[in-house]
Amino acid sequence: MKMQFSRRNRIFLFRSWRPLLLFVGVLLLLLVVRLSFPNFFLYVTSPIYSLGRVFSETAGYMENAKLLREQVTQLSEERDALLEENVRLKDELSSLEALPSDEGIVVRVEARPPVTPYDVLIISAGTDAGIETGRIVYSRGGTPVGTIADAGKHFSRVSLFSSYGVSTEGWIGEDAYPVTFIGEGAGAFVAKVPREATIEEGDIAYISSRASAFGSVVKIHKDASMPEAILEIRPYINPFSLLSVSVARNAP
Amino acid sequence: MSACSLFWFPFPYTVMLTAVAGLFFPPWLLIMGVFADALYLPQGTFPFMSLCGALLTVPAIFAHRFLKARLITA
Repeated sequence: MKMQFSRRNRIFLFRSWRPLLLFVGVLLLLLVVRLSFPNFFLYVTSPIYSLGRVFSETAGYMENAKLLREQVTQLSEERDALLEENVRLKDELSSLEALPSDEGIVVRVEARPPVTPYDVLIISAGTDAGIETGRIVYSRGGTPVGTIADAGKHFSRVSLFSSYGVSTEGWIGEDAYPVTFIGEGAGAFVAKVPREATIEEGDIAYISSRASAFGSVVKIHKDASMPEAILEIRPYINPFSLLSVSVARNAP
Repeated sequence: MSACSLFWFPFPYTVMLTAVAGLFFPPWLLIMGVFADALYLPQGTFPFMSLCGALLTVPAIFAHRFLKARLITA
């Protein structure tokens, strides 16, 4: 009997189930490893992050050697002047109240948005440096940017306050109007307040745990048909450019 | 290239490169989704990348077979 072969029928047939089973087995193994050892893949892939950093630094160095030599000479002279001023400022520093970042553990950021998909930072320090889950993370200027989501022995993940859907308590303005900041991803926040709230564009936003200013209100959306006004808040720190952060030594 | 992009380039580029690679090797979408979650997923967060990889692997399989059978051309 003549068989009618159709190209279309062959498309929906699997020749063998063995490769599919093997593939599913490998995926399950990856999931088990990820759940049992959360930082295993970060350990294994940390040389790749370093390699990327080496490539970008090397490309910068090779661009203009002569210009760099002139800059080195100029910077050496500026450095000598700055050293003198540094000694003078150190004498005054002891009388100043320490910023939260001064009490923290300074660590390098290995990966940041937009490389990371969940608005997280990967930092190169963990429990061996005294970092624990829940600690607040500050930029080098003392602005809070997130919290430690999970800490391994040598690496940790920082969940930014601006991660999509993350709620953070705080207040706005000199009147300390209490609000809940909701992350929108990519460093943006929104907050909902009653329409009659006395908040204006330019008011400063604070995270409640440390009374630290972290951004300002850039736009207010008011609609006569809605009982609430929506505030757009822009943080002072751009998470896309964080090179190092400071992790608080104490729990909030 | 899409695997290295996960470490060096913005995530939208990673998605684009992975989508192109998925036309030639459909399970790559699921592999990259699971790999992205293995590296970057914080505790307590839904593994969105793995789910996207799993869901997009199915149409990628069909697109790959259509390409292979030259029902569509790249």
